[in-house]
Amino acid sequence: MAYLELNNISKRFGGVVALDEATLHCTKGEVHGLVGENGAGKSTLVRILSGALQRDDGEILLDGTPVAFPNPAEAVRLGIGMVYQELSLIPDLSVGQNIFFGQEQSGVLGMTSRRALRERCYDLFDRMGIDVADPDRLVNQLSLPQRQMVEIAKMIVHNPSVIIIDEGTSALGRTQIEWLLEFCRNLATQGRTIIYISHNLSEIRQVADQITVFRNGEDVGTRAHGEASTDELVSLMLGRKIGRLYPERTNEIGSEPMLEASHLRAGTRLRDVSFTLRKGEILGIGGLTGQGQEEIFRALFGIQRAQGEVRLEGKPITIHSPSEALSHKVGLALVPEDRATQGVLLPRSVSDNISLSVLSRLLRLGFIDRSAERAVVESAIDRFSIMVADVADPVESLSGGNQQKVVLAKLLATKPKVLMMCDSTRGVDVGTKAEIYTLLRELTATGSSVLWYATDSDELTNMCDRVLVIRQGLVEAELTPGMITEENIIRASMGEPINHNGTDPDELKQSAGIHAIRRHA
Amino acid sequence: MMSTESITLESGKKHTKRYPVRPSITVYDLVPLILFILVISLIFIIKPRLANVQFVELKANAGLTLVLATAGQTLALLTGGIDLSIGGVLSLTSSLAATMMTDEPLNILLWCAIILLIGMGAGLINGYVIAVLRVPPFIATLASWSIFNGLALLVLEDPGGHVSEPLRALVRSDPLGIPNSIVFIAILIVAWLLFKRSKWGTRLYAVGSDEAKAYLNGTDIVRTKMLAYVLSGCFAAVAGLYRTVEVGLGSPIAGDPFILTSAAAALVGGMSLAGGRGDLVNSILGAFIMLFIFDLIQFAGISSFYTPMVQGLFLILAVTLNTIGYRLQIRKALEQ
Amino acid sequence: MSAISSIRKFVDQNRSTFLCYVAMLALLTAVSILRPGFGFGDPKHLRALLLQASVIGLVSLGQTLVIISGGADLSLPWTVAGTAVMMTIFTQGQDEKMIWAIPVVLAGASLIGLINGLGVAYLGIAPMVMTLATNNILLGLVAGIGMGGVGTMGQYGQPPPFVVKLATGTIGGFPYLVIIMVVLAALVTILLSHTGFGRRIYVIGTNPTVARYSGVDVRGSTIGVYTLNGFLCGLAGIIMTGKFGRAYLGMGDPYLFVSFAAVIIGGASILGGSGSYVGTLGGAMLLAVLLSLLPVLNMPRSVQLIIYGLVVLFAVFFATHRSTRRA
Repeated sequence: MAYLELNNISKRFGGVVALDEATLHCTKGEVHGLVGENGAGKSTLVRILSGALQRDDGEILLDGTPVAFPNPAEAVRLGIGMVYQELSLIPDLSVGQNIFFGQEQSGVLGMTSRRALRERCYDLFDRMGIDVADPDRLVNQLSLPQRQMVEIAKMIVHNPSVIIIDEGTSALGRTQIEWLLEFCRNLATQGRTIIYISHNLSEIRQVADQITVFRNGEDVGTRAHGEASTDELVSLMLGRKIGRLYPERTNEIGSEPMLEASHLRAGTRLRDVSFTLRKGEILGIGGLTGQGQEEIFRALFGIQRAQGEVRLEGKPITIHSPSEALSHKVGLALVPEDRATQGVLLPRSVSDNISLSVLSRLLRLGFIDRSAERAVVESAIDRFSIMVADVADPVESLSGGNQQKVVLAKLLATKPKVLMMCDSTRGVDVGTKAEIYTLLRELTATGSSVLWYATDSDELTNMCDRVLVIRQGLVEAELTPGMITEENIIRASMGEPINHNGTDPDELKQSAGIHAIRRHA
Repeated sequence: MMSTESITLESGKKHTKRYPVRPSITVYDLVPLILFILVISLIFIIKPRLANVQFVELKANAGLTLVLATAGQTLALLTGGIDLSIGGVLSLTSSLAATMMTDEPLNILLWCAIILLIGMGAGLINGYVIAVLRVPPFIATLASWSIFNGLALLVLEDPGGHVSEPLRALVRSDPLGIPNSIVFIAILIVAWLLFKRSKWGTRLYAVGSDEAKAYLNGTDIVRTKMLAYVLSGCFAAVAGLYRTVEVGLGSPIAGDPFILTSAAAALVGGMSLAGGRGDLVNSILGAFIMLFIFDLIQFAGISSFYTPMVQGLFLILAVTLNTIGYRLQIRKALEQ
Repeated sequence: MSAISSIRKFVDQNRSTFLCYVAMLALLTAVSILRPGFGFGDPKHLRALLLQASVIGLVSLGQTLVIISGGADLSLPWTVAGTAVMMTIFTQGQDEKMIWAIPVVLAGASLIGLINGLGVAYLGIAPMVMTLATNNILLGLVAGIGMGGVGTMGQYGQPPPFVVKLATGTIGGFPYLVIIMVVLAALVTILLSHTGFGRRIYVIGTNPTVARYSGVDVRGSTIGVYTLNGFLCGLAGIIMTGKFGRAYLGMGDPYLFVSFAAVIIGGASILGGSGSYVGTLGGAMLLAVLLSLLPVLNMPRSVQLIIYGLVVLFAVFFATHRSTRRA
């Protein structure tokens, strides 16, 4: 008998359908894994459970009784504990204040002393059995792994009977991950219900009693521990055989260099990376999160200050801002990772969004040439098959996949020589992804190049001509055709020598205990 | 809800890492204090004869209105908002104090209570419009400022009225040997230090720091914001009452100079428009810095008309310094 | 897309502005009915209304642009007053001096705007704080120069007769001021809806991060908006001096609130990214009608202020709820 039942939950945001009659049943004392691609609806479902979002339709039963979670406080009261993917820590408060937020045991005159908080923290950390962080430090002064651990500690304090961990390991180190997996099993033994969301299939298979797969906003299958192979899970996640998702490799790679980067250094994480991107080539950037990959893109696009030399078609260039990068003379375009906050202007029309990057080219004496703008927009809608009723409609009324197409259309309108994709297929349905992959092939056929940072090793192996795996701010390995396999990407990500023969990637992942590729929606 | 002690986690307890205890105040928190010492040192250098008790008393008395207004503004800023209606409430209570208060003790008590209630009422209205109706604070309090301004004019058309004698005597009396204004400020600071570390104080900071995350952690955003604006309304109301007593008459435009100056003082004191950080003690220092700039200019022999100019330049300087300090603090911590 | 549905869409997207105009007309009609001899029944009243609305609209030109760009201008009062005072000091009531005085003074106002823009764009100071600071700086400067130096207390000379004529004269019964306003309104509206600069203002106000990532020069456009704002405030100061016949310290102070009120009532969001000058004009007209109700309905200024506040609250509540419904 299921302890927790979520039945036919539906939720939409504007034009985006996040959940489509999704169902999930969990029993007491189990770890229930939840897997699916970016945008499949996992995070949305658990946020409804935690009270952070309200469902449009459907019902939730706890121990047979219908319940509602109108807000997070109510959910906590009913025994739901959540470790949020993007963390729910308050930056200007200390670790102790965050962990015991709402549970302060006021001392003299209603004050909570630092010392009391500190002691309670250490007591908690001792019982958790792992180092967390300095209780007095403000959260905005902590590193990401520390924040993740604080988030976990915070959840425990409320003694929840249902625990949700949304991508809890992508920021953690190996020891911490092993601790967390064991911790989950212990909590389950105590009779609690754990819902464990992860992108790391081997992790899930290690720890979960049952695994439910989500795709396009609904549950598509549940398998018990040991029943499903990775392949089966992946094909459930994608809904079709992997092969048909990716277009044929037809691009001819020129020998002339398009973009040459020498000794790029930026921030604290990018130490020294050099590479050459050839014309018509798709160069993949891989590796574990936070190894400096984002900094490469930020440096090339002019968002972050960097040292090193960059040459475009042989000529040295310096880029100080995105407007320089996107300019006609240069032609470097970046498709950002977070569409909503970096990619589209949600309230503005589809037309305004698409023409934004080429606005300066559409001006006659400062005035917008409407017919030229219309031409650009119409050709983009056509070329990218953007489904929209009226180009004057706001972008937020479009589906997630179409919104991403708008971003691509906007950037490709500048006719860039190099398109940089920074983990840009998040929250995009499979169908649109296939269209995007085909588009990229077409782009390279015209002589442009693509620099692609992907956390999904599948994308890297099937789309890229070469892959650079970055580790600790340096190029760990360069994988050339024939050597680009999931296994090699994983090996290089961890600093191990790559294999020139074949090894079952699944076996490898399990024995190495690897983790996260990345947080996904 | 069961306490954490009942959660059984590990079968045995491990002794995990202990971190060295660090001081609760960092050098970056002291920027307003440093600026304050700087300004006051300059004053005493130019006019050494002023370094005496009467000066302190004079300044405390004269500055209390701004201190009160700044205190109210600080609480609104803490939640990431702003309260422009402080000026209006101040004007309203100033006018009421000058027209309705007689010399009878019962009447005085009654009107003091009414004035406080008006402050609370103003806060409730502001809080409701901002937290429930979700109107941006700038516009919401700009509109309510206009309303309270109008109400003030209804009560008193021109500056005038009279001060209730017993009240004035009480305020001037200094029963403790120290000027009442200083006692008041001291009490305010102590009350703040207690409030800051209390449940409600923590919630104010949480809402200002990241409202979305505060919500996820179970904070009642509406009540927290209401509290902030109610407190700021009360401070504004008391400020108006005090001003009438101190100056000797009421005015329907008494509050106007204090709206933006209270915000400027708080900003000099390290508050951020984004909310979530800062401290009332520093804001009070900021208020005194602004006041002392006026004196500094006078003593330096420059026309006092230039005061706002120096205050404006100082504001830019202080805000830039505070922002740099905040960023440096984070960067240094992350590097460790 | 049929004509009716596109009209409906247009109205829907600009609901706040429409409501503003409708309210204004409704109010005026009500006054005309309740008090015959006023409102539509009296061309002199209507003309006074238009003039008052023109003054408010004039002063709110720059504020409209700044608010759409996501900022706010608190230095309006003393940019206006400063320009006015300096112009009268320079021209001393003589038309000939205008030729160099007015460009100089407008350049000065633009410079103030430029400084605001630099502080916001390069120092990263919040617009409210930066313009608050410059307002104080100007207050000190102008009062200091005015009081302590050139010119005697309160008298800064006369505005040149040409400016006075421009601000108060009429042609064929139609005040020059209204014509000037119509021209300026057209120019600003064209700027906002048909130029790249105008588009960028909206985009920056909607989401500066996305703007930057899309290649928009956010810093440059920000500096441009504030500089233009300074210029427009200066222009307002000059014309207002003509209308009042003199310049005096503090002449700009009442217009800070009014400028915000007009822009917000007209349908712009205080957070930026939406609004239009047509909207601001609607707001200005509504405020003018409310203001004119003073003598008509024997309303003291106190009640007027209360009504102003309530109208602004209602307008912004209406606008906010429209957009949150969409989210």
